[in-house]
Order: sequence, then structure tokens, then C-alpha cells
Amino acid sequence: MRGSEMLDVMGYLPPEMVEAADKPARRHTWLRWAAIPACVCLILGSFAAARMFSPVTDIHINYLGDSFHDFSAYIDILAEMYTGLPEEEFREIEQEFASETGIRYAALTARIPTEFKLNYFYAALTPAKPDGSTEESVRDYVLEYTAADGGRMKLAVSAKGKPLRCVILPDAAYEPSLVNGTEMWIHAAGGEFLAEFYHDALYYSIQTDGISEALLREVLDSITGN
Amino acid sequence: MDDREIVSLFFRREESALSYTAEKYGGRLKKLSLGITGDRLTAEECENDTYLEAWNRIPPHDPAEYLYAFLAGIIRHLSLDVCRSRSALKRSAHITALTAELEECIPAPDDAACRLEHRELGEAIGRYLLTINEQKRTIFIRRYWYLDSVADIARRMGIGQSNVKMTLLRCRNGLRDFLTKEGYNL
Repeated sequence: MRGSEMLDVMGYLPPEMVEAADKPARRHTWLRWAAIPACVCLILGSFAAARMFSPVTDIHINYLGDSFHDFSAYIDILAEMYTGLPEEEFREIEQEFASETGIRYAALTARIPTEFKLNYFYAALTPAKPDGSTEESVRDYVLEYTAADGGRMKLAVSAKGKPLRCVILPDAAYEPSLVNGTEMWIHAAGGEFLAEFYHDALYYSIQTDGISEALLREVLDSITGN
Repeated sequence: MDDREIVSLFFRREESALSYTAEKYGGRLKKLSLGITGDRLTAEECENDTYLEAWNRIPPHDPAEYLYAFLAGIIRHLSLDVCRSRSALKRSAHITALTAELEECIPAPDDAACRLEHRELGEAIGRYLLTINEQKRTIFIRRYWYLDSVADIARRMGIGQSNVKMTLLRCRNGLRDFLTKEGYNL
């Protein structure tokens, strides 16, 4: 017997069964009624949640004097320059970048406002220990930009922890800011800014020199926005 | 008008039986045919042919207790015949998909020597459907009797399409096992 005949066979099902299957599907009335207050709760809850979790921007800049010099420290890193690599090699670096950070290189750079021009892209490597207990490895990726008005910006990202930097500022000692709901610490000294935050499973450090506060806000908003 | 009264009009050979039938069930019948043929004009022709066929069958048939199922059975059969006799690719694909699904219920490969009467097998399937719950039964009948799409069934039942597909798969497997246990060798 073939399937097409089975369609004919189905025609011999008891008529009461066929009729029953054509009645409107029974639904639990109490569920429908229960759904109304549930919907109301959901709507009210959504408003409350929206208030609690909506992207909030509330910036507090911690002014630390004329220079970050007092907070600087010496760190021992190696830099591996990627700018200028042949296309094929650069593609491999892009793949490594995506694998290490969880974000595509192009996706990250696309978030930087167009006022900025990328000058250098390199990795900060932690050196191998002399005793051989650890090997040399990529710690941070760093992108150095120049703004149209001549200011500079260094953006460092790492999935392993706060990017290594010369300025050490304990978060707990300063007032945090919120940008699109992401908590961050923004410090200022002279004409420099330093912003640090953790967003989408990635640690960010942004250090600028000669960049306006408005442009910094634009950068932070662009990186943390959806 | 009550089904019993409509059927009695048929028995008395009063032509108003047709208009009352059309008034009460025309929309549902046309919708059923449209679902199978996919063509409004064809569905209307099938609907009219259904009334004529009902006129010829009543009497001797007396479907007072199940008039809609009786009419729906006629229009389903007519609509399937139309689909088989024409080469409307889209609708053929729909029917082909349904027949392929139903072949999964057949315990043994095609063998003309051991074919069963369709009616007997239809009754066996009816017995199987009594062993499953109402929701599964409705899903199965909507798919293979009314030839509804999975999406339509999901909407009608208020459940997800994957739920419908899974239920149909289990029903087909269950039916095959049931027919095998009952000793059917198709």
C-alpha cells in the first residue's frame, strides 16, 4: 500500500472523530483569565525593569590633578606590531583576535567614531618567565588612534583582566560612572582621560590625550551602546 | 436549522435541503476544499459537487447524527481527486508530502497481494486513535484527514510547530506499531 492510498483510507475514519477534530480547540478558560492579570503584572514589571535596567548614563569624572604621573608604574611588556602585515597574515591575526576576545576585530573598530583614524594595532605580550613556567602570550590588544583635531586615543582590550597600563588607580577609591548601564571609572588629569570598564565579557581601557570630554563620551557611548 | 431537519428534507427530496446545507456548512466545506486544492474556483466547484453527491446518497444514507462529517468526507474525496488529476505542482507537492508522511505508518512495503480493504484499515486506524489522547488525536486528524498544514494546526491548537511535528511523528510511529501488533501486513 502506498501513502496516497493511506490518504483515502483516512477517509474511513469514524465520522464522530472527524467532527470532533473540527470543533474549536478547547483551551483552559482559567488560563485565559489568569493571563489577563499576568499580562498586567508583566507590563507593570516591564516598566519597573525598564527603569531599573534601562541604559543609564551618569558620568562622574575623577579629576586627579595636572598629570597621571603620580600614579604611573613601570610594567614589563613586549609589543607585537600587526599594522602593516601582509593581508593573509593579518587575517590570521584577526582570527586570533576574535578567538581571544570573543569579538571580531572589524566589529570593534566599527564602534569607534569616524573622527578617529587608526594608526597602530598591536598586542601587548606578557613575557615568558625565565624558569620556563609560563610562555610568552598575548595579554592585551591595543589600538592607537589619532583624532581629526590631533588628539590621541589608546584603546586596549583584554579578556584576561584589566589591560596592562602605566597608570594604576584602584577602582574602589573613586566614584564610578554609568554609560549605557555599564559601570566604569573615568579619570582626568591635565588634558588626559582614562576610562576603564568591563563590557560584554571584555575588559577595556581607554586612555586619551588632547581629546574633548564630549568626544570621549561619544566613544564610550558607541562602545557600550547596542 | 437542525441537522436532523435538513436530512429529513433530503429524504423528502425537497431541494431546499441543498440551500439549508449550503447555508449551514458551505463556508466550512469550501475552506476544507480550498486547503486541499489551493484554488478558490476549484473549491467552489467541489462544494457544488458535494451537494449533488449528498443529494444522490441521501437516501439511502442517513447521516442525521454526523451530517458535517458526511459532507466533509465527500468534499475531501472530491478535492483529492481533483489534485490527483491535475498537474498543479504546488498542490501536488503538498499532497506528496502528506503521502510520504503517511507511508511511515505502513508496516510493510507495497504488496498488492496483501492489500486490505480501505474501510477495514480505516476502522483500525480509528481504533488506534482511540488509544491516544484527544489533543494528539485532533492533531493527527487535522493533518491527515483535513490535510491542514503544520503551521495551521499549531495556530489552531495554540502550541508550537515543533510540538505538532513531534506529536505527528510519535503518532505515525505509534500507528505503525499498532497495525503491526494487530497483524496488519500492508
